Amino acid sequence: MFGEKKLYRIFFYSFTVLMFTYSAYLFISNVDQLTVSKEAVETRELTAVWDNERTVMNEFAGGFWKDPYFWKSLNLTLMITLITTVIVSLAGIPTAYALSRYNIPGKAFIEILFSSVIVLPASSVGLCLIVTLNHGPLFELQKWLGFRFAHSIFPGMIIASMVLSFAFGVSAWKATFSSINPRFETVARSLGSSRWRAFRTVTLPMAKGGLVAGIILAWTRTMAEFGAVLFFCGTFAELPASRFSDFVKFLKIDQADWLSVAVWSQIEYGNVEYGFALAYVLVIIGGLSVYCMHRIGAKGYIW
Amino acid sequence: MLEIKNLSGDLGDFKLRDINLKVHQGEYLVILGPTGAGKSVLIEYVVGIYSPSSGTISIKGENILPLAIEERNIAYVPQDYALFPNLSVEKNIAYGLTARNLPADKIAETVDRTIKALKIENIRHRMPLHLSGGEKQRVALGRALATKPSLVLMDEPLCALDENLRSNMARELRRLQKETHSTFIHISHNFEEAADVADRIAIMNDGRLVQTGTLSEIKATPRNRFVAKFLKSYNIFDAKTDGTTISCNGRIFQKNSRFSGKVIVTIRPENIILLPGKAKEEKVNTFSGKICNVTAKPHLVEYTVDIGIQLTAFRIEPLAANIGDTVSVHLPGDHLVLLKEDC
Amino acid sequence: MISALKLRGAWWPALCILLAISAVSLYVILIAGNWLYLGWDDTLYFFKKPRMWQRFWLTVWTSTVSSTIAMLVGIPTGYALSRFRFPCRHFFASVIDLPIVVSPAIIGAFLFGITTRFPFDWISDYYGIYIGRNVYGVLLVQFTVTAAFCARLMKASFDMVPPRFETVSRSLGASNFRTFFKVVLPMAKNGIMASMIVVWARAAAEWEGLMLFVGATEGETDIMPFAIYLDWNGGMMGWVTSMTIVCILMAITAMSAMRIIGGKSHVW
Repeated sequence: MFGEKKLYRIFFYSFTVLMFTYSAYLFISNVDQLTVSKEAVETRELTAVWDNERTVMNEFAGGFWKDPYFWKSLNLTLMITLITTVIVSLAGIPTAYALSRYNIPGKAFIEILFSSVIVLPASSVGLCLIVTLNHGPLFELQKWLGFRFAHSIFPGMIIASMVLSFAFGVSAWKATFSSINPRFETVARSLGSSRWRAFRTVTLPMAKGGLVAGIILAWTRTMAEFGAVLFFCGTFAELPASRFSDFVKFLKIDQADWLSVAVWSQIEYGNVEYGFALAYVLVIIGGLSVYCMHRIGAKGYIW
Repeated sequence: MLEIKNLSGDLGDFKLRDINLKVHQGEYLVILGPTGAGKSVLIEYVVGIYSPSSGTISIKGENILPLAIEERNIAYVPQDYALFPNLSVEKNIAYGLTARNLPADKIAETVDRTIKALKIENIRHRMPLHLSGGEKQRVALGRALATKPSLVLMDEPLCALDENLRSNMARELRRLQKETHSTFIHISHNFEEAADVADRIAIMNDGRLVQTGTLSEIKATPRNRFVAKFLKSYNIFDAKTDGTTISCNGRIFQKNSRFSGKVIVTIRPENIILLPGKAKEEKVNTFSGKICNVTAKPHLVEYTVDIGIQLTAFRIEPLAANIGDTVSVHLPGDHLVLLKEDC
Repeated sequence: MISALKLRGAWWPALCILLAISAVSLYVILIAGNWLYLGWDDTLYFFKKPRMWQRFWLTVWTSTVSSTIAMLVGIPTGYALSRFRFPCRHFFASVIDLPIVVSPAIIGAFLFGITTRFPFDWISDYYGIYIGRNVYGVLLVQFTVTAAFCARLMKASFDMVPPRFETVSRSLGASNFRTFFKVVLPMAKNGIMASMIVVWARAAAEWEGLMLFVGATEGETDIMPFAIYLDWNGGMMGWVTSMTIVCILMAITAMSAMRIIGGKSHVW
């Protein structure tokens, strides 16, 4: 029997090792893309989009740390992600609580709705946003307010990244609240607490781990967002400086792109090392988030 | 002080039908019944988790149905105690008091008093995770009693405890109830447990209240076959009566009753008298029977005898007779209880 | 006084329910907006075009193939992650999770990188199968993104099967393999089927990776979501919207099926 158990373990471990190797290889083998080869320099055609600041190219990793575009993009992405995560958490946690505890009519439909949003292609989400916000009554609203939602940083990017991460967050938080026995709140209330107090002093501390996991999940999903932002906001790098308001310039996020979009646009335009460098930055940030999730020991979170 | 009138409710799996119950101030009531009888559900209506479809619940004359849970001042101790895991024992007990925004010194004083009364001083700062079953139960009680509720509802408070602890805790519960002059409603599925603590017992089955009364009342006059079975009467058999005698399987008993025709007869095993040797013919309600089985139990000896009807009898002292011997079996007329089928 | 007391503290559930209903309505408007924009007649017009269905079937069969392969790899991995305790478990799990944490566009870029070197160039030289700007590329991208997702889902499913059952099975004399195939897998059946549907839907929604890696070859590699992007660039709004509607319908169908099959046995 001892031999059989070993075989059994080897069988399962081998798949794990396979996946681990595949994943690790995928990320590690591309490191040499950060360095430039002689032939690449000679055969590369630079598009006229880049002005004098583009001399930082043809270096290791495109010399990204010297380029203000990189820092502004990082700034932009982190700022928007932070704002989005805060909004999603503030709106999503009570929503998840309501969906978990109260009998809202059409609950099954709502659950299907949220899970469908999670598996929709991001481009469809971006398209839905465009269709809804650039036509019809909501467009009138924007005209009345004086600015367009689409192709803007505030609130365009926030809305685009929010749609998907809200669905993810609510999914995770709903699972958390559902795993807490409602009896605790009943007892708290029978002792005289109002519903809010019972939630605040009993449910919330019990749900802490799951809520934090959901917040990290929302954060990670927002950082990884690409399609919706691309569709809804496009790229900003090539726009003239006049297009941006002073406020945006003050925050140092003008002429910057969402990081995932920046990766794509840099590689498309031929600036491969730079693009890969940005990609690695994102991978590191993502990896740290995942590791945090595992350390917290969040159970059952699904990307 | 608690009055439930014509309460009916439908929760899908559990249906309550037309419950009428009165509980007096300072009384210890046990709601007894098999699993699925609807006991917990009834309690949940009283606490306020659900709203009944018809009927009223009033405390001291005031209808409490429109009140939310937090306004009813009814303490609820669920089956797994539901101690707040993020709060220490002390904070758990203080919870209801802080919810009412009482001044800090008053809270501290009440908490101290409660902890002393329940003898849990040594676990004052521990977290619920590290408490034993008996400790958890005390803390849960302390938390409930600290707010001086009008009513304390406990759902199977003793079921998680082992045998020894159970009888001790039952006595504790009784003592606490008398000392604090509170009204306790205790749910149980165990008849012996109910017998230990209750002033009155209410028996439920299948969503209906079957019988209410003191222990001796119910033992002496169970209302139907279900109650007799539940109270472990053991001996329940069908017979025919004509008002003065009962006949069953060729045996005739003398008993006056107001029934006639088919009846159910029951007699508690402790009331049957066994004597060695054959029965004397002239004695009333005495028959000869064979011993089929003898089982020694912790506090008594259980005999199964056959007089043409299978009977179970209890004796404190064992009889000087073995399996297969003939004994005299006497069923006193006073202890024979007659029931009409299923009322 | 009693009614006033009842309102005290009721603002909290009201707030929660209000937020929930608003969120749901916004999503419904978002999704239904497509129909409103396109109109019923136009939708039918586009639905009748063979070009639409070409892409639809392409999407369906590529997703099915890649999700099947992903499941075959993901199920054992999920089981190992769930049951076995080995050193650096968290690190392993994190690395395996990486492909789904980063944007799929980046995955596309990286895949582009590794297919030009070992072992892929070796495979293409030796066997003549070129993985790149063709259907195989699509399959590879879909597989990469969904395998890790699948491992994670499988881990969650297996976590829900108590190890007690395996202990009992082994105490009755069954070998480890027999226990796995005859006891654990059937118990996790619901979770597995539900995961399969979700993984399939995820594969069908994958396109960002395709952009950088596979490029667009009409009829061969433009699965539905990718086609949406291409037509969007071409300004063909009618196509874009109708294909989005198809994607939405696919997603909703998949999720409904998952709910019916998986029922409450799942983390969703």
